[in-house]
Amino acid sequence: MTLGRAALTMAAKEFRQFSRDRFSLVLTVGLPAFQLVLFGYALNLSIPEIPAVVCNLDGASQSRALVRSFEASGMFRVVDYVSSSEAMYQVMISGRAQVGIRIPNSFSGEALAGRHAAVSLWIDGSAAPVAAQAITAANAIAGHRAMRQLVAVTDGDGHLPLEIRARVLFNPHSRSANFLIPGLIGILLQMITTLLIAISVVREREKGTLHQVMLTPIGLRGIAAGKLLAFGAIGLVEGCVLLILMRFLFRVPIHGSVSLLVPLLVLFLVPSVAIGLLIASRAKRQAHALQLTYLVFLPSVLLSGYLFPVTSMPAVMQSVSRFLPPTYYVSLLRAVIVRGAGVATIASDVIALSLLSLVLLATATWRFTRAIN
Amino acid sequence: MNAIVASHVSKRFGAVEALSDVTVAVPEGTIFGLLGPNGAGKSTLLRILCGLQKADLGSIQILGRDLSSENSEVQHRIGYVSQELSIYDDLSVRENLRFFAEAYGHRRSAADDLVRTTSDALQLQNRMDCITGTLSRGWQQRLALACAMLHRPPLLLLDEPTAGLDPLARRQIWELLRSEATRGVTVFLTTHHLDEAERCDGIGYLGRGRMLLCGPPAELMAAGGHRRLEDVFFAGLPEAAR
Repeated sequence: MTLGRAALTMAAKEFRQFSRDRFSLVLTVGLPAFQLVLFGYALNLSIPEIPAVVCNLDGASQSRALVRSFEASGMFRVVDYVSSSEAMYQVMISGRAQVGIRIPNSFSGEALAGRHAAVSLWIDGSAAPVAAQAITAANAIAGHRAMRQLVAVTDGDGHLPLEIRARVLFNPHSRSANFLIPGLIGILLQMITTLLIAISVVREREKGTLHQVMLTPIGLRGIAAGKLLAFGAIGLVEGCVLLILMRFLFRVPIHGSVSLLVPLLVLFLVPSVAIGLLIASRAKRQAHALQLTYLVFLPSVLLSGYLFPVTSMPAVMQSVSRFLPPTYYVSLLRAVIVRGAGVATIASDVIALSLLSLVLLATATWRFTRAIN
Repeated sequence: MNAIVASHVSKRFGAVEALSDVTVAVPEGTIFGLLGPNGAGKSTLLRILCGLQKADLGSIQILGRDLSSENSEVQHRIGYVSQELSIYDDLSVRENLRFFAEAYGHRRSAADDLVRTTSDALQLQNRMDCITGTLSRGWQQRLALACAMLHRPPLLLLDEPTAGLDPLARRQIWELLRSEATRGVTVFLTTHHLDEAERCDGIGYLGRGRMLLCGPPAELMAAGGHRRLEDVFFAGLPEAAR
């Protein structure tokens, strides 16, 4: 029996079993539906106006103008005015405000005299992304006002000598869905295909059917090829459905070539199913396979660049991320879907993912054959 | 000619000696029953004979071929049923049979013919569209046998093929095995039932991994002057090996 025929015979059986297995169907349909709704509608990475409490001990025109600058920036929303530092601290402990602006009583006098005027900014460190954004925004506001004052003193016409006119490319409204959903597709596909193939092999091992089929001309290589083919095909259909949902339900525009997405999907499914086979060669029980899959899933979410940029990670973690297939696939999807990149631009990531796929496939097949034998 | 010739086979699992210097020969077209207490090494010997496990020492000839050098050729000519039955619970009886027919290289129409004749032989016709997991142990046992016999193997290796069956189902299975042996098929099975051992052409008794008795039941009884096979085991074996 040829390997191709063995794989097709095995894959046909897998499809039949898959269509009757409630766990597999829930995993393939329910999990992506839930995650897509969560990430597509509920999760928003852009930080809305930060609630601020103001303790203006000065009260004069200069300090009131400063508070107005904070509000006008669109980054801060004043929720309370208090008259002491202690009261400001209490508002922040209560969580009603994440930023406290304390203006000393000498502020207007110092500012009008052209001397150094300092304002205290207290930031709630329990929300790290908010803290970082608050510091950046407050510094920008202070810098802008200082520059205006300086120009008014030296020149008098009020025009700034330098102005940055920012333009956000590819995702002009900084829509979180445009950033998150392409990456989510990669993460979901890896999770589903890896888990499905691992559970399927371990289940056959537990039941003894794996050894029964090993005795037939299908053999071990036929079993491995059939499983890879079946779950690769299921992943391909799933991936296409997710891309269609991304485009038409979540309205994420595809700026690049749609025809590039299918070969990239196939390329990514190879290491995903290979990891599943690798897990199956280690796990003796289904629960064990589930635990090992999560062991792969977590680094894929945290280190692949799906949520946090790889470049901001420590060097060791960046090295680990290079061995994770989603690192390349998430980057490729964002390049093609969000930035409209073409083949030449993504070639290096495609080559890296191809090499990783080959290594994982060879290792998984070797390990699987050895473990079952 | 012998269908099975195992000479001085030994197997260890860490510190446990599962088989020690086991020698057995089974002529073609006969039924050989392997008896012994739980953990005696019966299933291990069966798995070694079908090439799923490798012996540490000894040589094995199956159907005239050396198992260590022609493993896959030998495996394709064996029908094996494990204790776990090793059939797909979530497939129907027909789907199980068709899958194993195709797994043995038969094309669709030939596979359908094989499925029909095998299901007739095992009286599975009325349950062809039942999901296997919903069937009783007895019907599952028949299906497992059918899957093992589908490709007409000259050797059947069966690990407790009648465990958990009612007397009628056991009798039907034995009638089937006897008719297969009459056709020239060799049957090597493990059992805990002495009445089944009496139906065998040859029997062996494994105790703590050693073959303590081996031969035709009539010869073993005559040699010890016993009238019943039961007496051969209770009188002829040390207590620790029973």
